[in-house]
Amino acid sequence: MAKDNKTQEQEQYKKLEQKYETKRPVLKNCLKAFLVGGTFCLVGQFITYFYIFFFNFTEQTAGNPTVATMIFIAMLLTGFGVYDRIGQFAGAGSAVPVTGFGNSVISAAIEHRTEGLVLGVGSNIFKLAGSVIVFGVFSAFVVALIKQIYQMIIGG
Amino acid sequence: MLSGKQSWLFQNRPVITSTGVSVGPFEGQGHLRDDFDIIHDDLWLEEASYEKAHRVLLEEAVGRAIEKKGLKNEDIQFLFAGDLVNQITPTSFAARTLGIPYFGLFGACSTSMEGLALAAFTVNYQGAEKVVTGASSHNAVVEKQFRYPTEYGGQKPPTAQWTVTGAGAALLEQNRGAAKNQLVIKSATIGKVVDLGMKDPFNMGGAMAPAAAETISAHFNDFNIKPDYYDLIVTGDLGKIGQSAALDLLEQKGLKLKPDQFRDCGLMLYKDDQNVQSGGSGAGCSATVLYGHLLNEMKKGAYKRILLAATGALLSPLTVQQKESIPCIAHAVSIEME
Amino acid sequence: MRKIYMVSISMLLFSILLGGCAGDSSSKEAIRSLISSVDMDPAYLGGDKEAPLEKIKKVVADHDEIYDVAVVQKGKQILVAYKVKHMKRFKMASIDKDLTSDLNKKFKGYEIVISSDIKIFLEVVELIVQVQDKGYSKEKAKKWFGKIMDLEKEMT
Repeated sequence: MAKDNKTQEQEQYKKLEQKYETKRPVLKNCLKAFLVGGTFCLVGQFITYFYIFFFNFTEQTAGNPTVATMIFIAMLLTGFGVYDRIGQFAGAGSAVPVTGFGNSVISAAIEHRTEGLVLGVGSNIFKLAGSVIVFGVFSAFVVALIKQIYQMIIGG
Repeated sequence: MLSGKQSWLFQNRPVITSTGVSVGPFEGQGHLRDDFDIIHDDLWLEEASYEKAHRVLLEEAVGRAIEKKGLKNEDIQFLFAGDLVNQITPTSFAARTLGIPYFGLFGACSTSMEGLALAAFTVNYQGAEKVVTGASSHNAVVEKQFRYPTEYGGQKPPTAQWTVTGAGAALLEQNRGAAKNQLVIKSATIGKVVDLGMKDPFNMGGAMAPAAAETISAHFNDFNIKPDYYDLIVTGDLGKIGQSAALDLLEQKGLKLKPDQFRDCGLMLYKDDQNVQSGGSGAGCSATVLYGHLLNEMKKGAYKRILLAATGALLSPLTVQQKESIPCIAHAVSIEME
Repeated sequence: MRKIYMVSISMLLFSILLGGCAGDSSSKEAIRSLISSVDMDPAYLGGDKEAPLEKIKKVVADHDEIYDVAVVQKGKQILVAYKVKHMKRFKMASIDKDLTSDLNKKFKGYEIVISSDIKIFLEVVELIVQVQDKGYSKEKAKKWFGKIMDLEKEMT
C-alpha cells in the first residue's frame, strides 16, 4: 500500500488539480441511463410478447428465450463496435441489463481471439464477468444459508 | 555538455533531416490529417493481430523516414525506440525486421523525447553518423493491456484520454552546416520521477502535470532563459485537465506562459466531435504530432524555437490494482530552426 | 469487408427468425387483449352442470386491481384468466391469494384454477372466440382446454 498520509505538497496539488478536473455529470448520466436502460427493457418486453404470442411460452417461461435473444443482439452490437459507443453514452443504462453482462463476456472473447481458442478466448472470456459470477454465486450461498438457519431457529 | 543540474547542451547541434509518421484511421480524421505520411483506414493494418499492426506502424514510420533521404537501413547506426506494451515487444519486433542496432526504451508516453534526447546525445558526440529515433502506440493494444477490452461498453469519465494509434520516427544526422533552414536539436532536459499521490488511472493528465512543470522549470533554470525565448512550449499528452494544471504550476514556479504559447499534443490531434474526452495520449501521441505536424510548421516558418516536454505515467495495471499512486516523468527537448 | 459480411449474416438470421413466425394467424380479440380490455363472455364446454359463470366473472371483475377477466368451464374445472392493472402488479401474489380464497368460498364444488399469465389469457380468449363464433366442435374445444390446463400446470 502506498502511504496514505499525504505530504503538504501532495495536498496542495490535489486542491489545484481538483479545480480543473471535469466532474462526471451525474444527473445527466442518470437520466441517460434511465432512458437507454428503459429502451432496452422495452425491446425486451416486445420480445417477451413475441414469444408468448407466437410460441407456446407463458409469461414465466418466455423469460429464458428473451434473455437469450437479448444477449444475441448484444453480441451482434458488440461485434459491430456499436455497443461500446452506446455504453459511453448510457453508462449504467447499458451495463446493468443482461446485455451488459453479455457485452463484457463477448468483448473479452473478441479481444483475446488472437491468442488462440483455448488460452486466449477460453481463459479470458470471463475476465470481466468472472467476478460477477463468483460473487453472485457466493452471495446466493450466504443468503440461502442465512435463510436456512433462520428457518431452523424460528421454524418458518 | 552538461548544463545546470539535469540538462544537456548539444554544441554540435544534430540535425533532424527527415521524419516519418504512420497513423490509424481515427487520427486520420483529426485536425492534422495533412501532416501524416501514411494514414491507414483500418486498425488491423491487414495483420492478424493488433500487436502485429502496432509493429507495422513503427516499421513504416522508420522506413519512411529513411526512405525520404534516399538511404537504406544499413546506413543507420542506431535505433532508439520504444512503446507501451509489455516488454516493448512491438518495437523490438520492428527492430528485428529493420535490422538496425537497437536501444529499446521505456519511458511510457515520454519515450519519444527520451529517444530524441539520447539520439541527439549520441550524434552530438560522434557516437554515430545517422540514427533513427521513434515511438509508437496502438489504441487497441494499449487499451487491452491497461484497461478493458476495446469493445467493452463501460463508461469512461470525462478525465479519460484516448490512446493514439500511430508511430512517428525521425532521422538525426551530424550537422555539416551545409544547408540553411535546418531543424537542429539544441538542448534537452531529463526529468526526474515525480509523484504527487494521484491514483486515478482515468486521469493521467492530472497525474502527469507536476512532472511536466518540474521538467520545464528545470529547463529554464538550467539554461537561465526566459519563457519568451520559445515560440511554443508543447507538452506531450496532458489533455485538458493536465494542461490547465501544468500552466498553474508553472506560474507558481514563476514562469508565466501565454496561453497560446503553451499547447498540448493530445489536444491538437483530434477534432471536438471525435469524443476523446480529455484528449489524446500514448507514446505515439507526441511522436506523431512533433514529427508530423510541428516540424512541418517549423519548416513553414510558423515557429523558430520550440520546446517539447513529453510526459509519461509510469504505471502498470498491477500497481493500479494494488492502489499505488502514479509516478510520472517528463523529458524536454528543444528544437530550433537555423 | 469484415463488417459487410457480418451485417449480411445477421440480416439473414433476423429475416429467418421473423419469417418463421409470419404464418401464424390470431383473432382480432387476441391481439387486442395484449394492450386493452376485451371483456369476453364466459364459455361453457359441457360436461358437468354449468356453474354460474357470469357470477364468477363478476366476482373477479369486482376486484379493483383487475381490469379484464375471461372464464371457461369444462366439467368440474373452471379456468379463470385475469389481467392486473399495471401499477398494481407489484401485489400480484396477494391478489392471487385473495382471489383463490374468495372464489373457493363462494363457489363450492368446483375445481377453480386462476391465472394472471398473459399467455393463458390469450389462449382462453382464442378458445372462447372459436367456440362462440365459429361453431367449433366441442371435442376439439375440450382438447384445447386440456392443453391450456397443462400449460398452466407447467408453470407451477
